[in-house]
Amino acid sequence: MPYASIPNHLNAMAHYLSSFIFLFIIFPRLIFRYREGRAFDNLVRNFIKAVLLYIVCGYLLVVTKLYEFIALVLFMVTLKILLMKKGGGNTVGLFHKINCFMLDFADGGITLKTLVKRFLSAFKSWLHNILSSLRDPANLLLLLVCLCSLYIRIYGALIHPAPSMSDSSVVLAWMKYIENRMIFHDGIYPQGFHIYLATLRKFSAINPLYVLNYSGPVSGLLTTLGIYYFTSRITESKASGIVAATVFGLLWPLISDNYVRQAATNSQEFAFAFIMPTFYYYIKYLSEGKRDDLFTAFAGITVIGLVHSIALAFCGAGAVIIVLIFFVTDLKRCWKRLLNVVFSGLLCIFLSFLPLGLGLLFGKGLHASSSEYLLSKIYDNFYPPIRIVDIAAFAALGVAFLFLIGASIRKKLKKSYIFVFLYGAASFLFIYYGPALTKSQVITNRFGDMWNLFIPVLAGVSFHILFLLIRKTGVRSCVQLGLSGILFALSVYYTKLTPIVPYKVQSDTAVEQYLRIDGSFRPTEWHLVSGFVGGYALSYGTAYHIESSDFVANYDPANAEIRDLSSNVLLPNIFIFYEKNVFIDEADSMTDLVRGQYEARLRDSADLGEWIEKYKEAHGGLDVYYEDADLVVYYIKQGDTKNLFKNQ
Amino acid sequence: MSADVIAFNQNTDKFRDLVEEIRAVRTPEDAFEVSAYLESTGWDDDKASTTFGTKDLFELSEQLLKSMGVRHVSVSPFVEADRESGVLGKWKKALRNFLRGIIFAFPMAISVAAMLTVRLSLWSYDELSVEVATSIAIGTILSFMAVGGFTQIIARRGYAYIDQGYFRVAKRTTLYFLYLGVIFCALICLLFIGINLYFSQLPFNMLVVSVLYYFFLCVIWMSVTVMYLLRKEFAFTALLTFGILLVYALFYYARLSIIVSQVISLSIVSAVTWIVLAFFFRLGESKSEKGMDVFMQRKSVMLYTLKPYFIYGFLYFTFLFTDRIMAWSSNGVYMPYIFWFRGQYELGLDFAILILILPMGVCEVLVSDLMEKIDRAMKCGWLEQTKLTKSKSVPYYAKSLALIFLSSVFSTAGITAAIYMIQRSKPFGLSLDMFFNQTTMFVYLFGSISYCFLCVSLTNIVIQFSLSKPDRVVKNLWLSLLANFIVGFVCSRWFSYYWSVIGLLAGTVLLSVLTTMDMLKIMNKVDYYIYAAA
Repeated sequence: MPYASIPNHLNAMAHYLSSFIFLFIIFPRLIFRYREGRAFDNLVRNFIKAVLLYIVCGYLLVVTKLYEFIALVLFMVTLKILLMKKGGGNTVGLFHKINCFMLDFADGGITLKTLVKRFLSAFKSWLHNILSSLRDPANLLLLLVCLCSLYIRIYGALIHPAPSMSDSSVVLAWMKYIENRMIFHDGIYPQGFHIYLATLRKFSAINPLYVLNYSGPVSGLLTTLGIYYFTSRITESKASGIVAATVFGLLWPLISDNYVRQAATNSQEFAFAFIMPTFYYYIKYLSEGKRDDLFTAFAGITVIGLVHSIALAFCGAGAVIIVLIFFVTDLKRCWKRLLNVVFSGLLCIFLSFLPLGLGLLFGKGLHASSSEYLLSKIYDNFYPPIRIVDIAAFAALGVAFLFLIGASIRKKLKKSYIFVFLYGAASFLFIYYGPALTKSQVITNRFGDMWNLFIPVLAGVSFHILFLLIRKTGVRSCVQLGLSGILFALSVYYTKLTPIVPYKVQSDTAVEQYLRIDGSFRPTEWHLVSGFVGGYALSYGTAYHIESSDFVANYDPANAEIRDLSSNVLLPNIFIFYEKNVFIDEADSMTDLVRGQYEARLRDSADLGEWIEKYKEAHGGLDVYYEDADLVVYYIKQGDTKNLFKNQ
Repeated sequence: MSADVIAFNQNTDKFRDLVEEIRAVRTPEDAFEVSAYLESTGWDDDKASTTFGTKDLFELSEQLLKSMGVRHVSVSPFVEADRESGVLGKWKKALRNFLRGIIFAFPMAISVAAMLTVRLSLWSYDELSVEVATSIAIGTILSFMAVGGFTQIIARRGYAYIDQGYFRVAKRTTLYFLYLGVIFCALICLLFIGINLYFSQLPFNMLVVSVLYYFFLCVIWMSVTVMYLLRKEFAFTALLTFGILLVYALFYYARLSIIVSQVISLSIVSAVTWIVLAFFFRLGESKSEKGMDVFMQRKSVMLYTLKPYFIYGFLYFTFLFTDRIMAWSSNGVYMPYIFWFRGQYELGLDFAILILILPMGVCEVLVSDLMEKIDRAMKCGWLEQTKLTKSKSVPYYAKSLALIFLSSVFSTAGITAAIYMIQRSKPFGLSLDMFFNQTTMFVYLFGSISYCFLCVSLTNIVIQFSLSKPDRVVKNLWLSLLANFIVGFVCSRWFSYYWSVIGLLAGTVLLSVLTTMDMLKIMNKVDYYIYAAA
């Protein structure tokens, strides 16, 4: 089945979605208490807590070399039983219900007919609930925004099998290392995101490539929802949330220079999804004092800490601002809460750096390129150019500022609005003066997103503030909703929903052929010989990979048999990927590093070509598995796979 | 609670009414009988404490008994029971029970003999590819787990009815459970197929083999249970022999593939088994006394009361196979599927399980003897004071347990010696070379020790079931299963796949300790439990 075909994606997505729904909706619903309030609040809370749970559990299981599907299931079942004993979760009566069902069935109270009827009626009522919630234009609009946001991010992943951007191969390999119970394989780096991906992979049972390709766009969608959630909750207006979500979801390419990262799969973008909900729950806890809100905020910031350090800095700065606001304005009432927040923050820092300690304990060094990047400096004073979008954001900040003055006069100051203003202003000042002051490469290149990510929130909040002039709530809501709808329509019209398609480091054809072979052979049954970038990461766990340069160096084409160098086992199925035209994406920046790698690959490819010619001469030809203008896949079948398993 | 408070509370009308109420029903033999009566009328520790200020129901019972002024007649149940039969009669009975105990092993013995001589059996073959062996292993394990609960409830309820002479209702109940069993097995099969479709683990041909074996083995296990229920143990042994001969003929003479031969034989054996069962039922019905039957209990009530036994059956078979599941799902260098059969491991356990034969025979003798003593004791008249009963029952139980354990150790030594002797002398060209490797011997060693502990546990469990105390058994089995699972999982992942047998050892040790502790509690209050069970 071709990668870009509908049935292929329907199958893969069904697996991915069912895994996602089970792990982040159904299971959390079973173990965490259902709180009063909107279903969406519960969804967000449960999602954040569940991600933390899986990451912590993943770390523990990988470190103890026990990370696998059975262990995860055991962990989940044990947790459920423990919580049931404590009276937590929502299915204390699950077994009781099953009992009742069985007994009713035995007495004829339930027949197949009544069962079908019950199921249909439950389905009908579920459908009815969904449809009636969509009757609310705001919900419908939000759904459209989400779908469009997802579409522009996921389109590339649906059409191109090759993972996006250069980091994807690393993410893919690390996800697979986690699956194989290896931590910090290439050095110490937060593994939270890779554990999240590996857990999704375990339960979705699809090729890790699909999990990788889908998860980036899904992170983008989650961030869109996070921004909507924060904005709509602090303004208590769905329309302003929709405005913020539209700006981030559809207009992001206008805001961020790194917008292509939204369609690639990177830990930083995943961590972004948690920032806004974490802010919201910190504010909510300090305002209302409910412990569950503190725990949610703590879970959010800890997830971020375990996933990406830069995102932790963004979130940590926000948390500090929130604490300061409450410290200054409401110390008497909430000093205990502030202490709890500070304590949870310290705990988060401890947990976030615990993997670092663990890694050092295992004798691992820091991930070389990341630490190098982290410490690299710029030599000139750099001030980022002020863009139109920045000016618009200043205007939004101005609106917020005026509103705050007005509110303080009327003594109706809302702390969440103070936070929006302060965080917005602080993040802009930081990204503007930060590079020149620190000379840090990371701050120059990456911290721009701290500000960029807040621009949609500023847009949503200022939009709301402007319409507060309309006193009548009903009229205001209608106007706001209408205008947010218009903004959405204009955004669609303006962007034409042009998909974000990042550059690739592998050719789609090579990846497509890898998937084709993977579909025909079991793992361990075949060897892949390739010289393209990410060949090892792609085949790791599903096939044995031999780098083309090693293959040429170690195997004599004149030999009749190709055997494993260490075990001397005959390799049953060998697929040689020979690039006639070595692939390079024009969009890939031709840095010295990339250029050097490309030249080396050209040499390796030429060597492999020679080896193939010699093999053909010695053995009277070589089977061609696939061929086009750029790539040939040769197939050497040497024996029966069963030989491999005899002594097991 | 102080004596003053009790004395004060005794003066209340309520206390006097209660004394009169008990006296009106029957003069109790001891405080435990009073407790049992009170429990049956809705009293519990809380109610006793709040109404009369006693610590618990037992204290209240003792106070009530004192107030009634009942004097005990001291008769030792065990002494009295022993007087009933002569030495020869006792030995005859013991031999009969012993044979009945080991009879379950006949089919197993025939299968082993067939494997050693003609290298095939009804569902195994020496030269199977690992893929096929994996498929069959999955089908077999799944079939045991699916049917385990039903075998227990069929036996539990069926024996109860048949022992009382209600043959027709026993038949109806059994058929109802078989019907439920078939539905349940079909659902499990669908679930298995669904899971496999989702996780894309087994290729289609392996899935088909798994499902076929699963289906036929389910049918066979259920019918075997019914044959045991009808005390036609040898019928299945005969059918199995017939099945093996059929496989032999189809494979060696008709030159069919082993899978086809076995599937044909399994289907024929399954069909014949059901026909034979129908015949036995008809025969039993015609022999049973007319007008002796009662109505079948309301199904929901019946299922509710049998639920612990069903759970026990499921857990027990899951427990037995957990170590295999852990071992075979452990990642190897070449691991194309999530589950991968390892013959060396299976062989070690196959030899180890042989040690169960002797102790199970002994277990049957001891449990029958104990239950008979209890039964007689109940009929003998007044029960002795608790202290005296305890002084007899606990040592008797300890002696029984020691006997079981010793017979297990003796059996292990015998089997081990037999293996070494066969290997040394190679009678009829029989060789056990396959046994002598590190993995198999490791599994055999720890498997044997585990099965010794299992014998002890099973003895305890059978006694507790006889006293209708399944709840503690189920709880203990849950814990032991968890221990088996966790220890097996960790060991197989940290050391090597075959270390999962340590999980079995941990599970069986824990189960034997827990069930023995429970048994000691029961034996300390045996008269109470006898009364409650009655």
